[in-house]
Amino acid sequence: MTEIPTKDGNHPEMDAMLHDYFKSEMPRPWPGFKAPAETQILKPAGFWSRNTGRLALAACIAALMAGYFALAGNFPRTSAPNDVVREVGPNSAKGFEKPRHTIEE
Amino acid sequence: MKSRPKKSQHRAAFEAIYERHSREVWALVYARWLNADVALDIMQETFLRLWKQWEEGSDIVNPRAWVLRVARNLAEDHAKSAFRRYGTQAPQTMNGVQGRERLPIEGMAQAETYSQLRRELELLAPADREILTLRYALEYDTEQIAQMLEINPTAVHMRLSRARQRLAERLTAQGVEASHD
Repeated sequence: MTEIPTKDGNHPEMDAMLHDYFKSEMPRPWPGFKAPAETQILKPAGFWSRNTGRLALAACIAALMAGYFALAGNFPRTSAPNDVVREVGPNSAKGFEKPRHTIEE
Repeated sequence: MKSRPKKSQHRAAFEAIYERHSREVWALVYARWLNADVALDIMQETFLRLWKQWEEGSDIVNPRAWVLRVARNLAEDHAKSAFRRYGTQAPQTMNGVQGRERLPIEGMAQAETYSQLRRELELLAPADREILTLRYALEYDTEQIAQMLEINPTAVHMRLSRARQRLAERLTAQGVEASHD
């Protein structure tokens, strides 16, 4: 059995052993600091950017309807061969359809 | 209102703090856990938190005191989480277990010696381990240790001597032969 000397009790070997031990425990090479990737803070989206899709859809529907009404005025209405007028109103029977000749003979 | 320094200056200043104090933080946590990997993880987490504070523009007057305090807290938190993970078994119990890779013959004796030394270090008071770590890992002298731990240099000297003496006695009793490169 070998006695381990310490500095204080004139045992320099203990000093050397502790020095070697702690040095062996330290990471080598010493790691540098790695900053995390910069994070971009996203601003809350504005009204227009949030609703672009909805607005585009609404605009399409509006354009379609406007187109329909604009074009409808340009074409004459053709009457059906057997013109059937559905009577509506308080005196009309439900589901009753009365043929009416619009052209007087 | 202080104007913010340029980004490169900002980063350089931070890296200077890291270079100056990261080893101290590591040593402090190592003394608590005697686990180099845990100490490294906690050291990195500490500086990551400091970095976030810097990015947010917090005014930290004494970064050294700040990182040391955060590292101590994280080391204590690790104690609690380690208890949850390992139950009553402290993670140090695994320190003596060797990896699957075979060590060279000449390294095995030293590894065994270090393993016994670690076990003896675990039995010391945490404050004594701190002093030993600062003395031997960072090669701080008595004055530097006293300044860092805010204690009397005479107390540092006494505790260092006592810790070394105790370690020497215990290792001698176990038949450990002191050998170093």
